[in-house]
Parts: sequence; structure tokens; C-alpha cells
Amino acid sequence: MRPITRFPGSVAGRSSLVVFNGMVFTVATADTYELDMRKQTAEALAKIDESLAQAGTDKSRLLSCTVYITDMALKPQMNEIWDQWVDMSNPPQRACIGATLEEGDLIEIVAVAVTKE
Amino acid sequence: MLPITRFTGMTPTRSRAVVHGNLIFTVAVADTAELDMRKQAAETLAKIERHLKDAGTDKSRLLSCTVYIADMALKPQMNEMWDQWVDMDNPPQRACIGATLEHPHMIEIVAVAATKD
Repeated sequence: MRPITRFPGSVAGRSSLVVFNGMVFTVATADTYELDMRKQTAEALAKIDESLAQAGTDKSRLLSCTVYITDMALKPQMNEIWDQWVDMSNPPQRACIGATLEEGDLIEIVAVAVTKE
Repeated sequence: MLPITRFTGMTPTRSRAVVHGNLIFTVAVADTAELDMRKQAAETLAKIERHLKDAGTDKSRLLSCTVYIADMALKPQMNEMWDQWVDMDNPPQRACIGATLEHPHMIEIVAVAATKD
């Protein structure tokens, strides 16, 4: 049976990062509760970076990102930070979805990437 | 070409589970029309478990779960059932997203798991 590597999240019963057979599954929200989309986006993306680094890979190996935001009117602010962050030579498939998130969160990003093997 | 195994859903144009290589993609909602988040969450999780079993695996091999719920205020009730159900030694990456679902569904779970190969 091929092994699965799990990195615990902030709450028991959830992993923040799971690695299996060259694939990386991760999720991030911002730590700040400041209702600032640019700040929360930058923080969430930085967390995705950290998770990918833990898995021994980086954003150039992203395959797919689903970006959930609580206010579609703030999508341009999210995009501004995304565009600064993303590897322009290796952008993932991305979807941006308006959703309800836990109070304080303006953004949540679910990402699938591959390792560097 | 690696084969794809599909398990037909309630509607012939959707699969409830798809297996390719070492990966399983599955989705579930509750059967009950009762507007009870605990009950719907328990039923949905039980269905995910059945789908994983059909594919020859189990919840200890879950990689990623996206839990869509119709009312973020009921997230604690969903979490209660999640915590009872999840394999605490092998939790998947999880995201919980508030979304609009088909009536009377209060929860829909999309999961990716690994086979036991």
C-alpha cells in the first residue's frame, strides 16, 4: 500500500497538507481577522507556499487552485495579489467562487500540486 | 492507457465514484429530506464510506474533502459528526465552504481518496 503523508492542521481531525503518490493536497485561509482582502489573500497564498515547501515542492508545480471568496466585488483585489504571487510561467488551473466562509475569513484556497519527483 | 472505473450515480449522466490509478473521486449528499444538519452530515459521511468501500478502500485513505454546507451557522453541528466519523490518525485535508445547494440538501461532500494498492 502506497504511503500517505499527513501534516496536521490547526484542529484535530483535519490535515493542512496531504501528500500521496506525487500529489499534494492543501488548503489555506489567512491568520488575520482583519477584513482586508489584499492582506488575507497575501497571507493565504503565503501559507500555500509554506505547505508546498513542507511537501518539498513549490508554486511552479501547482496544478489546480480553487479560490473561495466571500465577496465577488473584492475579486479584483484578490486578483491583484494573485498576479503578484503566481508563477507566471507556470500558472495552475484556477477557479474563483463566491461562497460563505467562517466569520473573519474573506478567502480560502484549496490547492492541488505535484511534488518534484 | 490506465482504465477508469465509474460507479453510476442516481442520474445516468453522473458518477458517484470514479477510480483511476491510485485515486478515487467521489461525492455524496444525504438521502433524508429532513432539515437536520447532524442527520444529513452523518448520512452523507456514511455514503462516502460506502463509495470508498465500493472502490476497495476506506476513510483512512482519504486525501482531500471539500464539505459544502448551506448554512455556515450549522458548521458546528457538521463538525460534531465529522469528528465522530473521521479517522483521527488519518485525517484528510478538509475545506468547509458555505454554498447554495439543491433543496433539501444542507450538505454535499466531494472527496478524493487513495486506493489500497
